[in-house]
Amino acid sequence: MQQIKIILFILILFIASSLWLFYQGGRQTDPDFNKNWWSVYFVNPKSNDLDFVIDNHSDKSDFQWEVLTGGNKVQTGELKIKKGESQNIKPADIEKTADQKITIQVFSGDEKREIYKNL
Amino acid sequence: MLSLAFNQILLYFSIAVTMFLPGWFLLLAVFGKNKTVSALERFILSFGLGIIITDFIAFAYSKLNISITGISAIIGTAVFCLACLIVYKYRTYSDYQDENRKLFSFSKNQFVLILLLLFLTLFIKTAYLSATVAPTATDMGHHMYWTKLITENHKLPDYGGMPDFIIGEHIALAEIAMIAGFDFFSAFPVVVLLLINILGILTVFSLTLRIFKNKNIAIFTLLFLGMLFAISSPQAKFISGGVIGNIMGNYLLSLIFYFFARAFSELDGLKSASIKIQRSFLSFAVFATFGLFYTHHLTAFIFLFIFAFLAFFFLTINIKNIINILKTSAKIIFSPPVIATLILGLIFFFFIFTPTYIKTSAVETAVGVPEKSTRTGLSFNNLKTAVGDARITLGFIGLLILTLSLKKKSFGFSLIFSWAVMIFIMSAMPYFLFINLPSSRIGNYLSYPMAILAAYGLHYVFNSGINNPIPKKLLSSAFIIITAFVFANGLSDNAEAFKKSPDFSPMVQTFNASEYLAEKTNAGEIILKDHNYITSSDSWIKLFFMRGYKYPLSRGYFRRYEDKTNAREMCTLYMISNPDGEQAKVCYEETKTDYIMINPVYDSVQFKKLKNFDQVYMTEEIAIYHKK
Repeated sequence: MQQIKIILFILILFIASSLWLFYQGGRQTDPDFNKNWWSVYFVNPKSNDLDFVIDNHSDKSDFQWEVLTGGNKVQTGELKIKKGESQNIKPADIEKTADQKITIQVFSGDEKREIYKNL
Repeated sequence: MLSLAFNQILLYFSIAVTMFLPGWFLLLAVFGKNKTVSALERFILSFGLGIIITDFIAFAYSKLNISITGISAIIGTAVFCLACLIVYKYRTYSDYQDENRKLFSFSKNQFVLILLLLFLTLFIKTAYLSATVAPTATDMGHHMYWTKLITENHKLPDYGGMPDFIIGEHIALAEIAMIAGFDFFSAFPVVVLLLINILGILTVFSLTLRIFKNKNIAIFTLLFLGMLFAISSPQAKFISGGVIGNIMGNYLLSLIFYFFARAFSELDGLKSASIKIQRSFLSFAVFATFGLFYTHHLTAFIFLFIFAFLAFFFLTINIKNIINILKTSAKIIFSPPVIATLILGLIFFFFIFTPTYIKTSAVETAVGVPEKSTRTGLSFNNLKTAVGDARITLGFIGLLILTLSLKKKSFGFSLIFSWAVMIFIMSAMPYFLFINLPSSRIGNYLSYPMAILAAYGLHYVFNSGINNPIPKKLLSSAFIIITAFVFANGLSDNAEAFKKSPDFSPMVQTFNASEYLAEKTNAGEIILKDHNYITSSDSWIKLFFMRGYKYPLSRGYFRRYEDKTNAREMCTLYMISNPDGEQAKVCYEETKTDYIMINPVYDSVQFKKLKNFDQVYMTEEIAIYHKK
């Protein structure tokens, strides 16, 4: 009986550990829980298409974006994105010429992210 | 919360199927309900045997071209358990009464102490693991790739000649993942390794109890191996680090020694009922040895040295009685169950499934004159760090007392002596044995026998029941001082368990970028990532693609490109460090690399000025470039 009690005690401890570790693991891999980051990326990295996504996992929600061609600002926009959400942005048609570098800059607070394509 | 509870039920079910039930039913078939193996021992041993049986079932499936799936794993286990049950029903068992069956009956104080030590052991380990359970460890990432490959292909993986991955490390985990449907980025690998680690400690507890036949020494062993130094290698740090081979190896090694100890515990005046039991134990020892060889080559290599030394040492100290010992041992060894297990194991090993490291030059590279400074042996200070000051000090006292007690000439005493001495020689003086392996890796194994010896030393010195020449008052004061030293030293390492959890933002950014690339690319497109500055979870990136162990390509640590003793390809360095250089251009042409994944803080400048690279993804930690 004593041995059965030890076995049951080990099992209870293991179950408690397992529950806690799974719970912790879930929170640690959750992109939003206690995390503060955001990303910008092109929807289609291979083509000349300029559609992009802002994926927000930060506590900030105000984002401003700019499209620059050769260093000149040609389009701007502002939007609100809640934590855990993302938004697909389609810049208006831009006249594209060969050897042109089109840059998307996104700002939130004092942070900046940039992606670009060389046409 | 409901899904967490459901996941837990699936976890316990899958662990029972792949690890516990096959072993438990095998013990039932062999021993019936004979009390020669206590209930606690049955519980502890079942998991180790179960893991090995699960491996062998998978090898058989592989040979018969049967897919390894969750369902086939359950069916395999069910058929095996049913076969064992039929044997149990139709076999007659001896009513052999083990003289030591009361070893596992503890006094109230001992019982409470065991529960307390178990609680503290698991509590400290869990506290540490709760901050490290996230999928960040490099080794764990590599192992999980192979494990996931089994779950995707439903067959045993081809390791491509890489000797550092061994099939036994991955089968049980893969089957658990398949049965329970677990995500590899969940806590399940850590939880399973924690269970194996705890079972290893409990096996040492049982082994100590069987050898010394003293409950206090066994409880002290639980203290030295469980609660104290619960974090340091090879304990919780190896669990979170995914050092699967060592964790499983230490469990299987203890299991093998347990079976050997029981097989040869009595070599005088064997009764026929006893000899049958001892043959069974030896069969299990042989079976577990095959399991070890299928699981971890370093542990198996160490086992061979310990075993050879044990045989030599035991026979030497029993030289006057050697004829009797050999005669009795022959009766145990040359018996149908032992020979059958050996032959079956050899058939599997050489004809059904041969581990990768046997086919490669792994054995040759492990033997030779050590040249690198990391292989020429550990200093005493290194050993102290590896084992712990208190444990190694008391361990050496225990070893000294054990040496003086060797007049008892028992197999168990010889086993503990050989275990400690051989690992000490292998790690501190490898040149004596022509061992050419990293000494620190061997040194980690010393903590297991040293924990037993420390427990033995502590008990022997302070046991007032023995005719102790030291005055009682002095003895009590010394006991308090030493206990304080042991706890302060052993628990100082455990303080790490309660450090603040790190920031996991870099990890989720690595995963997010990997997911992006996995979605936007196909198998024909080549990706190169950096290992130097993508500091979090980069070994896990390959799990998002499952396009080969070496996919994506990786720029390794800079020092590796400068290692003149081991020349390696340079393209992965050139293509990130100087993408516009002539060498890089040739490399891009040869490797057809399409995407680069780097840390923008360190490596974006060289890409920004180039017109043939688009920056298509960016977070604080990761930037991805597409080569046009």
